[in-house]
Amino acid sequence: MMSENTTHTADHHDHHHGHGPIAWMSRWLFTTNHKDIGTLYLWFSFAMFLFAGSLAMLIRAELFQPGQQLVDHNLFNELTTMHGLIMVFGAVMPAFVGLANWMLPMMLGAPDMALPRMNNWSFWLLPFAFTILISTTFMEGGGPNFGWTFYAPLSTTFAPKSTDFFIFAVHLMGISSVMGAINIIVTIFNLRTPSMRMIDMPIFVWSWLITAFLLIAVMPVLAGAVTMVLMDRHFGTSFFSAHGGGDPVLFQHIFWFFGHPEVYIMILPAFGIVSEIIPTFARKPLFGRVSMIYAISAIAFLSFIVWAHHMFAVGMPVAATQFFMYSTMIIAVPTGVKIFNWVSTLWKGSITFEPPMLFALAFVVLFTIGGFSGLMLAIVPVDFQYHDTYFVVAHFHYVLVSGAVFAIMAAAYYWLPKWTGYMYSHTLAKFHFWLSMIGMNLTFFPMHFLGLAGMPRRIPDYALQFADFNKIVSIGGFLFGASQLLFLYIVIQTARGRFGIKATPEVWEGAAPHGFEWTLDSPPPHHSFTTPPVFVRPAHH
Amino acid sequence: MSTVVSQRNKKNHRLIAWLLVTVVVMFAFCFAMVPLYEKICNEIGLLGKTTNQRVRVSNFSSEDLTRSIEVDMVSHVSTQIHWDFYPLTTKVNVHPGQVKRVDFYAKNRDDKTIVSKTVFSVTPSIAAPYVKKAECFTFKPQTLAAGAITTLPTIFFIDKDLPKSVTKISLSYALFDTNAK
Repeated sequence: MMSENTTHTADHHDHHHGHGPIAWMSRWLFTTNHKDIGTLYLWFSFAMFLFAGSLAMLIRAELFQPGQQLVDHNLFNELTTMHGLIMVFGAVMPAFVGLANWMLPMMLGAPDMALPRMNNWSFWLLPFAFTILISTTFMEGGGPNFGWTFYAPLSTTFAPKSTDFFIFAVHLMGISSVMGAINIIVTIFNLRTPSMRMIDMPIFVWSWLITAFLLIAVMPVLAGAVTMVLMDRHFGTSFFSAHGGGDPVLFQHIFWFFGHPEVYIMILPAFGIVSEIIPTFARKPLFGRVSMIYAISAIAFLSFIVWAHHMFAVGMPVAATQFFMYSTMIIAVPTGVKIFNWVSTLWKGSITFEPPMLFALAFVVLFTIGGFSGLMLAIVPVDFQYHDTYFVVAHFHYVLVSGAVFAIMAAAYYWLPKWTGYMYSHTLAKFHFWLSMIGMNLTFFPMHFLGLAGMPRRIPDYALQFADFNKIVSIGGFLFGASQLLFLYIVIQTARGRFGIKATPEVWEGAAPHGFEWTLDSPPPHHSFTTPPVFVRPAHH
Repeated sequence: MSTVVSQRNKKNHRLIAWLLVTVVVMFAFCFAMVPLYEKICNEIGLLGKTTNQRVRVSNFSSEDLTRSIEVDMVSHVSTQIHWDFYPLTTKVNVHPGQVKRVDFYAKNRDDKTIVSKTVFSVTPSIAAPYVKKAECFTFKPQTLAAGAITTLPTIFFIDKDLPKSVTKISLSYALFDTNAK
């Protein structure tokens, strides 16, 4: 079954061992190997994380004290817009796709992804998309300044000329994501080792399968939304403008019909990662494995019927607000199941606190805080007060930074020794963890208070009573930002083997029963499994 | 061995085809949301929208004298149209079923002929389905030559089935230039 893949990729292997810059470049440009592409995705997302993070540093520098300091108001709007867009589409999403590329074939006992050529293309669209997006900053009239949500008419009537480049970049990102999702689904269905049933798949694979379906369902809706914006801008249509019979509120419905599943696209793979890490370091199988799969599916389904909770303040019939409020609150049930299962996995476990475990545990605690503030925001009358304040900013950074980003860092620390064959310095990694943990909370926790006190988001200046908390937030932000340079240092030095510790195939004591990836060498062979491994169902089933 | 490979390729292609169909369907669904949203808004009065169609008055001849509704007339003028536009009466009291006429003043201050379009909406939106119009300038675009002045009539009545909780209604008329970008 696998012979076709081995012979045909063996040829490729030979090309890879040429020398000189041309050979090096063509290796990365033309690679169809899932590990190479996974590495490209991860490095790309890391670069975007640092870039969008430095934009956040500028935002926090401007907000360090009241009044206008560093940037003018339009540039401030560009900074918040670019920070959001790049973190969502350039940092978090590609990081998860990179992890999927690296881990899925290894976890499923496959030699590679099912569609390697398309895999190459879906990665290489991204550097072009983001070059186009970032280049708009230097164009006449400036880059996008309407927030990552690009509400009409800010993105139509009142938008800078460069918005068309933004639209094209979003189209490219969408195509890339859809191709990545198709590849993942086909790999999971058709390249899984025959002895592994669907229900046997690791939770990370399950979470990605469901995420991939979400991507396929909603990325085309985003593509439609930007297409309508383009048509309104240039082709005389009036989808979102009242004078032609359109409606700007329609934009918000379409955007959030995409946007709410999108925010779950950024958290479901994180659930999968944490569900892999906690059992390893608690030395127990995951509690409630099957209920985890049902919970992820339920969350994915619910994500399609809650979108208007982002727009309570826009106005809608009371019955509609009730529907969206209660459907939003129901999401707390499957999410609660997941939190309960993680905590139960820890219960009476033989727990050790290696760096990936620290990040995973921080995820469980801090994501839950973000979940609670989300429940508060779901309450319609309360949302009228919280809408567009720093309370919302605090909420979504708790679920995205200490949620998605911490999970990605946990995954990096968990699998980095597997990928590189070298262990990193636990002391440095733990130092990075504590800096991030303190920096993150110092940055985002006071934002709750600022929001409750009425500080609006996306505004470059603020009233004097907010000055103290903003100073604390900015200091926390600088700490969190700077500590990611330590992360960069650790990753580079580990990849170069500079910490001098070889990783065993199992990497973590007792990890072997938790997945096929731990039966391969560290680093694993270029083509993960050339013969399908046999899946042995755990005894406790 | 090659049959196994071609079988797997066939399986892959079938799955890819289904996924691509989903992508196309969802892209189309995005555009289908436009008429769907319009229909839902008009039917349930979401955002105070109405079907804004002519209703024959003779069907509603009797008045409900037990109730009196305050109706505020509100005008908005888009920043992109250089017209003066406002209701000549800003507040009227009507009994449900009572037919009322209110005139709007309109002047084209621009130096060229402008075709305008007025978007009509009702607050609170719960009252939207009960506002009926026998005649209204919002039914079709209005053209005014440079400097021209006119009076634009709206003839409406409130349906007697209006929920008892509503005692005050605002009728909003937002004026736009049909040629504006």
